[in-house]
Amino acid sequence: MIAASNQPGGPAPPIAEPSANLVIRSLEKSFGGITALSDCSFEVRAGSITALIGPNGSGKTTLFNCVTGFYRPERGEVRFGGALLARLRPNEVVHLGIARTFQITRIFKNMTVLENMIVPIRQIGLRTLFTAGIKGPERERAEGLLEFFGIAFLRNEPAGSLSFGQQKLLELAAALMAEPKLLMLDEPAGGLNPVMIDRLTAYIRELNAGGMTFLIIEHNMGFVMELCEPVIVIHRGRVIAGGSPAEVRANPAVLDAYLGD
Amino acid sequence: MLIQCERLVAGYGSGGDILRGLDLGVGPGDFVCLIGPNGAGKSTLLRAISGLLKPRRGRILFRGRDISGRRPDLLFRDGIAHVPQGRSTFPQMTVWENVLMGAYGLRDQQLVRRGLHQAAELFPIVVDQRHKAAGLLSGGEQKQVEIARAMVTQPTLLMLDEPTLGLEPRAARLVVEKMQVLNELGTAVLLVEQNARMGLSAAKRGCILELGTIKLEGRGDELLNDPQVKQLYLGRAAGADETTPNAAEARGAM
Repeated sequence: MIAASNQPGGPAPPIAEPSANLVIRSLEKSFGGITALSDCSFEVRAGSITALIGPNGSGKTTLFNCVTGFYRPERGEVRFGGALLARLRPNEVVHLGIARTFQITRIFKNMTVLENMIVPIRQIGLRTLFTAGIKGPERERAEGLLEFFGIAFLRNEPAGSLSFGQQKLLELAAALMAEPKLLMLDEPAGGLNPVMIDRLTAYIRELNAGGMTFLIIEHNMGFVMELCEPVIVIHRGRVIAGGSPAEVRANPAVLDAYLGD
Repeated sequence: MLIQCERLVAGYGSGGDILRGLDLGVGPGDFVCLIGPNGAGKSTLLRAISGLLKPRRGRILFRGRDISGRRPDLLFRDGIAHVPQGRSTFPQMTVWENVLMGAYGLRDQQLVRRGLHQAAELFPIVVDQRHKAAGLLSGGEQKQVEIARAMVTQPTLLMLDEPTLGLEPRAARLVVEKMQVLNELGTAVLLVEQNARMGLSAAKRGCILELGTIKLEGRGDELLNDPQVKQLYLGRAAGADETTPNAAEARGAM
């Protein structure tokens, strides 16, 4: 249920459940004359695990940044349910139920692993962040997630002392603390060992069955093809294809721009 | 042996030991792929060998000489090159300036000329794009610049920490091909790769690192086909979609 238009004024994506779909319409963003997104339109249907794939530099992360308030697009709009996102700040986007992770992790390196887990769910100033202590259901939930991702034994270590892969797992676990409606993951499988990728795949499926929507950027095609539908392909800042994994894999434009032979 | 780690123990600051009595040998011309869970100590091992991290105990021998705790710049001149995880280009400098940085501190001008010549030959991109700011290249192109820079000293040991991380499938395949070419030309390669199937397919030997020691080692293809290794370290793997015509490639490079 995605509609991709790569021409100005192309058909608008149909809206199935306007209350929870992420609709990206004619988005444009450039950096000093270099166009990163150009008339980029597609839709992430509520309840889907949608993949966003494309070559390095095709605009995938820029799109994430436009959706989550890190960049201001020059044109176009982003809607999540009834809300217009394009003018919101990152923290306001989070409060609408959208969480994300980063390609290069952004955790608080001098805070402990456990403290990092609490940051996404406390909406108060940093100074008062931990005065209430980390206990009760909050603590249990944090411990459960850390346990699942195999980093619970590091709970009191400064997050900066974790390996790259462990930091990624921490960021993912922290993003899940907020129980978002839509979780946007930027290369979640990159740098994870294959067994952990399997666990992550199963967990995303479970969360999805519980109603969480996913938008996932990933280069690991096995992961994408097994887990995601639909798959949206962007190239040079615009959508060039979208559909089921099988359709996308058979699409000559995708083979040419991205998958190769 | 080119590199011999003996009962190596290493860690950071006041933290616990990451490497816990690790033994590993890499022979001249070898191609070893290190795999293992996140946090097993793979990057730490590379840092200890290249001198970025001083071992707490044990020794590292390079061509029979104890190099434990030797300065990284001296080890680089000795012929140990380390391409770290993530991006390490100087984004504002041109591509060619980045490659020249590989010769920083080298006094033997003839060696530098030969090294630069070889780097340019192996990685045509550093010549084709020489005037461009390195930060403007794609991830795969930047990784090639980093490897070219590391090759300027014509190292006998090239260590790469997840060079395909974040690269699109085609760029990842190209980087792996380049490693194989360098190895065929005689450079020993020590590769850390989370894309274990791709790494083990490219390498001659594989080592599984877990909790700071080598758990298992063997030929790359042996490990790939070992049912227990598959279950514990390779997973069903996200790369194994059997429906792809060239499933082997899908498994590896993508």
